[in-house]
Amino acid sequence: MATALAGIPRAETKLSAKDFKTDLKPIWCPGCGDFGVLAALTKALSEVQVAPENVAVMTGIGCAGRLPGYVNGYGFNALHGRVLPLATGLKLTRPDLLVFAAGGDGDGLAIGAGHFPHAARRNPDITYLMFDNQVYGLTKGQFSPTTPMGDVTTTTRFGSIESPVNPATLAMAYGASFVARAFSGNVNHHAEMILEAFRHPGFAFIQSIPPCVTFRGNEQFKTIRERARWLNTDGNDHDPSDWGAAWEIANQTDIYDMSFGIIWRQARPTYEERLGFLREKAGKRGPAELDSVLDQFRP
Amino acid sequence: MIDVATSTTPAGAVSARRTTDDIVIGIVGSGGDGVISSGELLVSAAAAEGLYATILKSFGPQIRGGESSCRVRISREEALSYGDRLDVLVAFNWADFARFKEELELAPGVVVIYDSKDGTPVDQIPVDPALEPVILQIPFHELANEATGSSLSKNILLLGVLGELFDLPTDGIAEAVERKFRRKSEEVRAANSKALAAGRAYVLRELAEAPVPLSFVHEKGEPKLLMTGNEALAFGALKAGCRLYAGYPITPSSDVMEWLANELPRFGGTMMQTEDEIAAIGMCVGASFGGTKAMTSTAGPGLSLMTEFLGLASIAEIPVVIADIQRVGPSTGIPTKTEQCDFAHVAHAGPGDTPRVVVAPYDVADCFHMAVEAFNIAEEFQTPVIILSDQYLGQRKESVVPFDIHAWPVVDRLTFGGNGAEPYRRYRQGDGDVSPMAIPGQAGGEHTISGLEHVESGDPTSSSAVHARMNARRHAKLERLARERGAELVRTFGAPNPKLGIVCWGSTSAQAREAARRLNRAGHAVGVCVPQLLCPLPVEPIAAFLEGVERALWVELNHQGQFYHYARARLDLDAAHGHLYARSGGMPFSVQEIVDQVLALGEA
Repeated sequence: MATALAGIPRAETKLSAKDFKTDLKPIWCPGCGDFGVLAALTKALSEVQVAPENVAVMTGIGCAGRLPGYVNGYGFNALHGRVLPLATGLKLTRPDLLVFAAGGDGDGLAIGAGHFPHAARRNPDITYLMFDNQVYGLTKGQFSPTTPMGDVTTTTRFGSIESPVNPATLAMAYGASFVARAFSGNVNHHAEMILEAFRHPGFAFIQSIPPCVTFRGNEQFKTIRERARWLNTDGNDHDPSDWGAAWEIANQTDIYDMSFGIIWRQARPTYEERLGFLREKAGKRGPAELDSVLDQFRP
Repeated sequence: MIDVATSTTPAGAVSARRTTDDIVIGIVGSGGDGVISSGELLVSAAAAEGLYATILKSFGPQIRGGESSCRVRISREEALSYGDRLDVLVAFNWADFARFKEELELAPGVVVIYDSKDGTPVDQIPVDPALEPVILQIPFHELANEATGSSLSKNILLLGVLGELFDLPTDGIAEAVERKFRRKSEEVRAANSKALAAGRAYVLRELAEAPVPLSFVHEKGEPKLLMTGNEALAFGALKAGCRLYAGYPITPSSDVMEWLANELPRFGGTMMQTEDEIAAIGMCVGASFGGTKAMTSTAGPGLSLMTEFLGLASIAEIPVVIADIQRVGPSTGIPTKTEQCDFAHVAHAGPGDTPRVVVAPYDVADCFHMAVEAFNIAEEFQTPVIILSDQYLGQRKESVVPFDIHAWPVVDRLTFGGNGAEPYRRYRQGDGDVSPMAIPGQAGGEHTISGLEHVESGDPTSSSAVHARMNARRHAKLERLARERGAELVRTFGAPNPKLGIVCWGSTSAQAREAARRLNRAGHAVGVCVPQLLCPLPVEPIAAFLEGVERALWVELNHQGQFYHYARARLDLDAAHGHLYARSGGMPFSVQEIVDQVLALGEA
């Protein structure tokens, strides 16, 4: 098994979280939970000591989509729901980069839901962070695939009549080899989750809860902080290699009754590793020379 | 070119035999009859002999088994098209022939060979007696059983029969069979030899008294290569430096993916079969952002899904190549049949003022060249490039004169070399229409790109003034491409000073060129203008061609005349130069069809 980060060049000088922030002013609302995720990400990047030029932050569309502009590194704010193909394409051709993919709950579970299972089962060595604020923020307050049933939004004036999906159980069922849950109100813990995701060789999924103070009320920060359970602290022992226990934690859907931490972790060859085996096998066809390829067209 | 000669048969009898250096053979049968394999072996023998050859296959809708047919054309001169009419028809049974009748037009005097086992009396076979066919019933099943103990070898036995009957290169056929089965057991190879010999012996024994009135004359030449358009396109991509192919299976483009799945890994590349076409092009854009040349290929339905990423690649200025192997549309259409019906989509697809480049190869060898060219243009102009091929071009196997794969230059994108103290700006004004691309990993080049309109640094903007400037920058590339490369990407064929002109693109060029060849020999001065670059339209070289001819006919295989109307909007066409012949696809144009249209033009 390869260790993640092994092939990624590190910064020569000590970098701080601040070194990973750009001068661009975020468009996020005052008090937005996304600021906490940005702080956690830059903190984790500084702890990895990867050089900014070897970082690629890629996103879909939504409030979260603006993230790359605020991180010092290479960034790509791409299409709605399409960040995972983009990030996979980059990582498997450039294993020397730290590839961080992110998007909202609508981005990843509505329009982009078709890509999530395939990225998870292929297991490329990327981190995928879902900003799960349970609402469409950028388009100003419509319900999303994770909005609880009954909630009133701009498109559900009489309460949502749809059952929400659960990102964490989906990730496990799809075969993600790392699943964690983080809360943007606890930047240190959140940064630790991102750091663990970076260190994990394979597809690392983080369900992040960054409260949307504009469309989901400003009570969320306070209430989550009061009620959150932190895995493997305060006696909340959890073995992330125990599927049954992991599933039970992943299955929590009420943001006010949730455990945060590493839920599931599994050692499995990455896509890039398997690609290496495949190339070795394919090499037996002959040398990598165009002339020998041409020979197959001779009658 | 057929003339009548007098030949002496082995039995000493004298009979009139037409000689030809251009023969079209159709073979029809059910799954298991091995008709495709027979056709492939004929073509392989011909190419090894230095002849020109082409094979077009056709299948029923069944996944496995079912009826299949192929038409093989072998000629001394370049076989530009599939050959309009069959000189020889082989039917293992007539029920299967009925399904392909629409596609298999027979020539007068056609030699019809069918298996006695079919049982249809000679006077009841579904061939028009007015054609004065020469009909032979041959007991393929029995002969094969006798010779090898199995009727399965009847398709090989058929090759022995055809070789001897029509004076095809019989040694070459034997070698082609041996080549194909060289890894099989001694037993299989011995059975093949016996089947071939039995076929030849049958002809010498039973038909010596009345030889068929058609003889193929040729001499041995330099061996040709044999490839399909899809293989040539995939090979061109590999040559151009493509190291990521991502795609989703779709007829008739999947062979591109299958070929690259075999070849890319040993070159350190990757073939990724994705969950859909959106992911396919998404992976390509992601890889190209990281500096890796990438391609996807698809057909109409998949192209619909790729449209959003086409727009992203355009605004973000990311090189990417998309091959569209067109099939009959709209929607699912007829997946296994050809049509040039996606032009309007690829020329305009995408909301916004989306720049893109479209190129179209005109024959199998050109699929290789246009693939290299597509990558070169994508890299140089930092924009998506679409290759418009189609089922007829992509899936037909054709002899190709050996070419030097190293002679084609490969262009790489302009990359960032460091700005000194100045911060990197991805879309710097003053660079012209393209700026050096900083590739992740390059220190000092860190930046963010997006599908949002942006200022020079790549950061988003809502400024309409900046938007206008960036639109102009992105479209200036297209103008430059047409200006700098247009002339060399418009090909002309046929008479040197034509009076009548044909303008066409893509696979239709094959039949148009052959139509011109036929007309020129009959004393008409006909030229063919084939733009390989369709978008941006190289207006000047096409206009120059049109100025030189008195009348012009635009030919394309779609209902609306999609390219014609696009070109009309950009060229000043008078009535004499604006004749259109467009029809729905399914069946490619025949040469005669185009000849007739051009002759009608001459009389207009």
